[in-house]
Amino acid sequence: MSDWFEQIPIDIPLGGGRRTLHWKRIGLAAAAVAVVIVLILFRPWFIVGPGEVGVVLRLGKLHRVVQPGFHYRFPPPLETVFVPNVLLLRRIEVGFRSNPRSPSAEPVTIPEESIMLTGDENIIVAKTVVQYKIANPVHYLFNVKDVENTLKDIAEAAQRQVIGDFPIEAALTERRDQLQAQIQEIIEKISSEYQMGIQIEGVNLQDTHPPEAVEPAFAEVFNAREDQARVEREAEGYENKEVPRAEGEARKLLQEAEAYKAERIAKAQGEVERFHALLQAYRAAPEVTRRRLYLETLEKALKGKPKVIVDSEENVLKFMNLSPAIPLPAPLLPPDAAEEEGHP
Amino acid sequence: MKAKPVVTVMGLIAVVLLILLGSSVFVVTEMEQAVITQFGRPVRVIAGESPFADPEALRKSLAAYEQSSGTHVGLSFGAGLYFKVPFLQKVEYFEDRILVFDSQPATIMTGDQKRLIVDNFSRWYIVNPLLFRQTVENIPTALNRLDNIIRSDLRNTLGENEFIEIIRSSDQMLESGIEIPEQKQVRIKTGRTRIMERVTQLAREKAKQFGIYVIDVRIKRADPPEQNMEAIYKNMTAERNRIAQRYRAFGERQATYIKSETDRKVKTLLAEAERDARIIKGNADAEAARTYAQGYIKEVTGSPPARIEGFESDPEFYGYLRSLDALEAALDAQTTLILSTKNELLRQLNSARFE
Repeated sequence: MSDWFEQIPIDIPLGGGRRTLHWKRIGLAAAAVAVVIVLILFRPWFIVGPGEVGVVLRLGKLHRVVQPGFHYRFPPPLETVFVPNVLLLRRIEVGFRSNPRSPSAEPVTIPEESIMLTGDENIIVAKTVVQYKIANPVHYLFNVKDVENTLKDIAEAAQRQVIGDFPIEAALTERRDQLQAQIQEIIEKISSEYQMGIQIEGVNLQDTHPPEAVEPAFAEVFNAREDQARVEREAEGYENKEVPRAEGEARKLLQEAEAYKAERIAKAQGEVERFHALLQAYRAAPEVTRRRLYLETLEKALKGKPKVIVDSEENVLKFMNLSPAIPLPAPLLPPDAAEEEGHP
Repeated sequence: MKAKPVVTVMGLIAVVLLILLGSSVFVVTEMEQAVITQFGRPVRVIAGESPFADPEALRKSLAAYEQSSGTHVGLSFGAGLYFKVPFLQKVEYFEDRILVFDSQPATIMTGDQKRLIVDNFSRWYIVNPLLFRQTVENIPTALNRLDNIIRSDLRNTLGENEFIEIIRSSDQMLESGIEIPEQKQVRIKTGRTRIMERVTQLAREKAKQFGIYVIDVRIKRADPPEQNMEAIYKNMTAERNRIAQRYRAFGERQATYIKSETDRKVKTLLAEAERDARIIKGNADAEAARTYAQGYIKEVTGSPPARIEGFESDPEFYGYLRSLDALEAALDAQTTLILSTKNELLRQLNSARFE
């Protein structure tokens, strides 16, 4: 406004100083210049970029919301325009700050935001990323002052509330998803209470770990778990080795028994068959067969063995003692003949 | 510079009109509320239309003010263009958005005498711009008042509750299925969310007098102080060691279970196999005995089964055969035989020769 007034004195001497020229031409030129200046100063248009929306206030009151493109407007103070980007995925970091200029650089941890108590009174280090978008640009602009900081406060409170409601194991491993979902739920509830006009796109509870001072104790638990698994695995290995071996052994015992059975019966049958055959012969001619068998046996038994034949039995004992060349009688049954004792 | 006096006068009039206009109209945007005063006396309130605005309460409050002060105060709602008496009336703007109050961290003592460093924040809204203007004038003063109110409410309320009530909000951790040491399996009576609701209610009631609506008071952080950390870390380490020991013991137990079960299986298997083997052998012996005694039915392919007779058919003949076998077996290579001529073999010879 004030700029525009200062411009006027410069234009007027130009037009008024040269009276010899026709008023009409001067007037036209001055009008043209004035129009250009007015256009430049007031810019009665605005451009809404991709992803943005234009929120136009006319005399302070919400008048219209326009989509990307070129739009006319009344110059301020009649109309003022806000162009928030509603497609941009915004991000809030709790517990740490990454460097926006070099995303690969190690983020800086903020201890007072990331160290907190769990429900079982342990201490944990936890960091959260909240991603959000503007869902309602009018609410976003006019309902809450400093949406970003508000959301950060909410996220911090939500993170602590949820972590404080679970034991440390839940936050460290098993229940991360559940915790994340609860954090998101709380953030959504509060931000919708405030009518901030944003939509939470995601909450990511990341990098939860025990504090450095107790890290070895947690590592020890991990080791113990591994040990537990190892010992159990070893026992299972023992089982896998011993049971099949025993099964093999058992099968072997049964097979041996079966073999014994087959052998035993076959032998019995063989002997019975011999007996049967001899019996047939014996029945046909009992006396001859009896004698024949006896003589055959004697023949076999006496063949090749030292023999002394005495005429009468009276001198036998005397004779035995006098002949050193003749060895003392061996036991009547040799040891390997004992087996035969089992016969019925 | 030699402009006609008429033009100059016209221009002057135009400028004066512009200034008059500028002084008599004003814009209240969507983010603002306004109070118009005339020499300090409020004449009009332009209130916002925020979700937290309470037009009814505001109307009542202004009516009460009119009653007590005897002056009329106009009331309008919403953003837009408004008029006032130029020069005499002044516009003061106030926020129509939710504002933040972020406290400094403070050490408080819980009901069970534990220290906690509590950092809280609060969102608030100016519901009554006139009362706000009259009692606290501006935002910095308002924040100061809020700090006093919330700090004392928080201190009192947290002081009535035990430490664990401030940390936890519910009992869901007990139902989570994760094992928790016995002494920590405490059911909470109030919990953080309800404590915060309580503080909010107390603060909201007290902030009313400043034309402020306290939307919420929330604990951002509630941490043990630095000097308590060491003790907590010690507890944590002890607890972890206990858990580690238990894992190991569970492993040993399981291993013993598996090994002893294996041994049992092995022993049972072998014993049963031995039993079965004995039964088989016994049956075999019995069958063999039966075969010896009674003979058997011989199956020969292509011809009818033949009956083979056993020893029983002629025990006397069997005994004879068996003694022949025994005789043969008894006479081994080392046997020296002393034969009498009365012996069967020789007797036959004798009788053959001499008879």
